[in-house]
Amino acid sequence: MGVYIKNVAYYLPEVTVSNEDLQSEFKDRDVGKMANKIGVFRRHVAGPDETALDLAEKAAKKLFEENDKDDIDFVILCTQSPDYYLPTTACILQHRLGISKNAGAIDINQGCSGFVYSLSLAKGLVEAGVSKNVLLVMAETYSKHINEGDLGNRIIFGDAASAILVSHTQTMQVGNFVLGTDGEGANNLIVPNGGLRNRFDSACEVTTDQRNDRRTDNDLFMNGSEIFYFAGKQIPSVVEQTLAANNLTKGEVDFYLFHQANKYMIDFLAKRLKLSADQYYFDIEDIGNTVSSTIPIALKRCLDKGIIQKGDKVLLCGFGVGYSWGSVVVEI
Amino acid sequence: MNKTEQIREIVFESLKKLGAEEEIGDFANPSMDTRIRKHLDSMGVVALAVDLEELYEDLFDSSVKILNEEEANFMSNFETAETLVKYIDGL
Repeated sequence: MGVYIKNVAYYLPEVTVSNEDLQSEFKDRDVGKMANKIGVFRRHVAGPDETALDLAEKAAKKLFEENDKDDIDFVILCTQSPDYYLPTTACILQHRLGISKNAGAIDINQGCSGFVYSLSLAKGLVEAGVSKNVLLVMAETYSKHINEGDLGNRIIFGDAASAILVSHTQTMQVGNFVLGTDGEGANNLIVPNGGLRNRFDSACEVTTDQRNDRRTDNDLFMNGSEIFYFAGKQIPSVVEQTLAANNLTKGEVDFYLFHQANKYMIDFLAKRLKLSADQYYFDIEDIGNTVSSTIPIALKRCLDKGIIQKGDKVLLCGFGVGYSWGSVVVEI
Repeated sequence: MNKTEQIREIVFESLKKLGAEEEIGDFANPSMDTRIRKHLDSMGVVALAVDLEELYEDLFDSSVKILNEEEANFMSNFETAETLVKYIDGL
């Protein structure tokens, strides 16, 4: 049985933070220089009382403008910013959206590889006959994990949610997956406190790194060099494995959609894979790195702009926190 | 060529490539005195390390980990082409 991506929608919170806003906060830093390398000039951030669940609801409602919510028989919500330890955000989302009580609903905790992982689970559910129409929702509010004094991360990340309908009816066919994990890199992208190993500590020490970014162990920490090193070493071989898993050569793939981490990294990967500028996409200048939503948002924008068209084979590849990576080919 | 000379060649090759991409004039015709670190931020150092590791593996058919930020004074290895060649040769 074929499994297909039927539709994609996304939602961005109303509040935006521009690089000019950041420059006025960080007067001793050169925001423009950093931004040119990262490729982000504005990002959306959730409001103080706005959570990943709220963003998820709005993204799903946009999807339902064109698709019938009554068809949904499974909800997979991917987030690392859940409203609660328990219950799952997916259960509350099911209720808010009025999705059938006969639908299954689970959260998965993944970051930048989250869309590909969620898609692989949805494909499994449809192929196993458990589900016919799976609602995937990626919803993330990393801004709430980042210390206000951490310019390095504030400049990169933005908040967003995306909603994807995965179905047994023919639209964009989902091919074979390559998934992988290397937990040795866990400490390179982490929020150390707040779980059960290290409880949230309101009195924990504020540290300042050599770039003058401030954070505490309650906040997100990212060793950007190590993450870049991991991606630069790992992802070219993941792409090769994905091509092999789908019996394709590099030339037979029309377009490559990588997790939109930052401009420098995506350009670097493209160079290593010898991709020309019209074979890959980078488009987060106005939204930032939205973690698990970067690939669905990029896919939607490419479809809307006609950059990718019916019949195109598109390789999707997500990677990051964990370390974790996932890749698949979709035929539009 | 002995091993040190081979490493020097891949360092020069990688610097030329990076120099062309990043428009760093000093990398166009590198010598052992070419200063590296002053032209590269942390991402640039990683990009150079990843490229060098691949060239090294292709040349010597064995893997090497050039990026090791846990090592004390790691960045000093990237001061000049000479320090980088010596560092890689000693791995």
